[in-house]
Amino acid sequence: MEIRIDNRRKIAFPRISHYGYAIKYIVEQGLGAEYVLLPPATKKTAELGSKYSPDYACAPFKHSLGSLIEALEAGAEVLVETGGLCRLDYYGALQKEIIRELGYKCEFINLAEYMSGKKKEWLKLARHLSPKLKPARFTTGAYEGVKMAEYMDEIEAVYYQNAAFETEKGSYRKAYRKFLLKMQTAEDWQEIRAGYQEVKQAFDGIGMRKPERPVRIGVVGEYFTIMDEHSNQFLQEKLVRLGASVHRFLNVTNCHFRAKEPTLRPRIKAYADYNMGPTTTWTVNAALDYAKQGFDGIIHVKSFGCTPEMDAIPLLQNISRDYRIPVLYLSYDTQESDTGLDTRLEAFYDMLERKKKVMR
Amino acid sequence: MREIRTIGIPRGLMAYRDGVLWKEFFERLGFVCAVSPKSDRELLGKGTACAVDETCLPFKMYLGHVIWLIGKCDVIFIPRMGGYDTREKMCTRYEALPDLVRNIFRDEQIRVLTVSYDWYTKTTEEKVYLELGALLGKSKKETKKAYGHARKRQEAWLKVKEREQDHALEGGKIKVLLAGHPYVLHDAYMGGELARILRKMDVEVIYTDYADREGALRKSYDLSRVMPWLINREITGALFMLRRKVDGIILVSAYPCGPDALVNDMLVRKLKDIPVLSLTLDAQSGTAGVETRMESFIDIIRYQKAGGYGNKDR
Repeated sequence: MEIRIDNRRKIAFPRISHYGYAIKYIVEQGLGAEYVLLPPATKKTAELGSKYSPDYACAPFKHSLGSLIEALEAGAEVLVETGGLCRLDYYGALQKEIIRELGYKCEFINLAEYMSGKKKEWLKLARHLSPKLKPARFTTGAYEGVKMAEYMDEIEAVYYQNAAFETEKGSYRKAYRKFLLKMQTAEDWQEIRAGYQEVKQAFDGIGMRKPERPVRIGVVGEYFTIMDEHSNQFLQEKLVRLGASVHRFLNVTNCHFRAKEPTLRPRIKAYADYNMGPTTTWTVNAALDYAKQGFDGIIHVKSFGCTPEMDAIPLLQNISRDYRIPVLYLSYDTQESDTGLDTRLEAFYDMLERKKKVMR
Repeated sequence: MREIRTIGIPRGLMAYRDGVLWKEFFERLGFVCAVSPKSDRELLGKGTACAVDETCLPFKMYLGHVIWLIGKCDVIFIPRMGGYDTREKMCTRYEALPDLVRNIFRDEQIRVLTVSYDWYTKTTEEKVYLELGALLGKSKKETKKAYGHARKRQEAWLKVKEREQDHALEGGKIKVLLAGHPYVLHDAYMGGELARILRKMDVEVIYTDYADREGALRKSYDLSRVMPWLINREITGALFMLRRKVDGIILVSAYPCGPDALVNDMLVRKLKDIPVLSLTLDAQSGTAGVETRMESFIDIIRYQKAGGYGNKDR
């Protein structure tokens, strides 16, 4: 017989990069429920997801379905799926149906149903998940969780931009992993703050041998695949190992808390008059920015069949022509092996490096 | 800026749904409309050549129609449709359409006539058309009248199709419902082929878009509160309105349609008491594969109708 030491409800959300730590913080510290934090995704996750997904559903659908099933196996009672501006809005409805047909018993909360709803509805939902909810505590918890996500974004960006140039191999990685572990276990604001300051100091202390003009690569593309390392087969890490400084504009901070679509759009006026889809403006704006700053190359990342990002490609092709900047297009499904990716990245990096040497 | 006399309408995508409305509207305002011809292999070939590989078949076809119109009109009408309601959006490709076409044909410098609306701006169809009229330099009164007239013509057109279909539903032939986006069902090169094959087998072809549009839309809410796409709602609603009147359903989708990929999977899960065939069309050169599948599907229906598999009393 299972012995329950507390009666909090076990809530799970599909994995998305390291943001699970922030979500865990908000659920546990703010909401007062228990969060089912899954170990990093494996090949099995994607296999599980693909097995029960429609064939040409996008890869994020398969990955998140895999995560949800694994969460159920790990004892989750309440599954939460989000909504969005593309197919994401229908993920929840279909995943709920699939999971029911598989015979799992759980509560499925589809946030798409609440997206256009009122604040009252959200509060009702929060109360439902945690009957003893304290609104003040929830607000603080949510704020601190968001702040944690911002810290993680900031540190991650520093990491990918500089890790290629450390004098002692692995020192950046070590500090970064330690920081993520701190975020995973943080239970209050002091711990988050301390972890953040510690990693900043650690990064500052790392010996660097940065060339005067390093190869700089900008990564742009679709929301989930670009952020979730497992989905993009550790693309940024691979580039770092090849020796590049890797920049990525799209993260939760920039996408939700800083840059608003209508304020960014005037900057890409030469290419688009309208909002072309959920993340297209961010993609095109970031690519244009990298092109203007004289980056060596751009990598466009998306899952196979992602309509909004597919529609950004003709614009990227024009930017590539106008600024003479090479763009590598990567389209992901749930791959078995990453050898193909390695070869393409090596070739792309070699080409950029060579171009840099020859055409000063 | 050259004066606009002829407006080009590519026979693709939403033209199969709203085409009558567009054409009547422009003609009432005194413009000449140039409509591209029926889809064929050549148009698709041209369109495919300038599209990103992964894009959907109807979009590649659409580009072919745009190419055909280049040089044959003063401006090409490519509206930007976001949708009028949060739960009645369009696929994101429609949000990107005018910018997309402009970027693809940047060297040709084609002139695009566009009007834009989004679900979050809370507008109405009439307001959108008033804006379009103003863009063309017509007075509000004129535009309003033209819109009213065009709207009526569109509704009358649909009514006729509906009545014809109701009539066909009463006949004694085997009836198969083709469920899909209008621009897949009625495109000569895509759904047109399917209908031809079915008719050859003496089957009555019924379409989901020749049904009461508003009724279908309302009906779809009984099935799903969250489905975000207008066209898929119309398909789903009509499908559930018609399913008792037909012998089988073919879900027709064009590769790789984003909304269909998810919604059709859901429909297959919900439709358990009627034969369903899920067909995905791609730019194949022959129809033999599709033909074989449809033949065996019809065979199954015939067999079942004759008492067949003994699952009548299930």
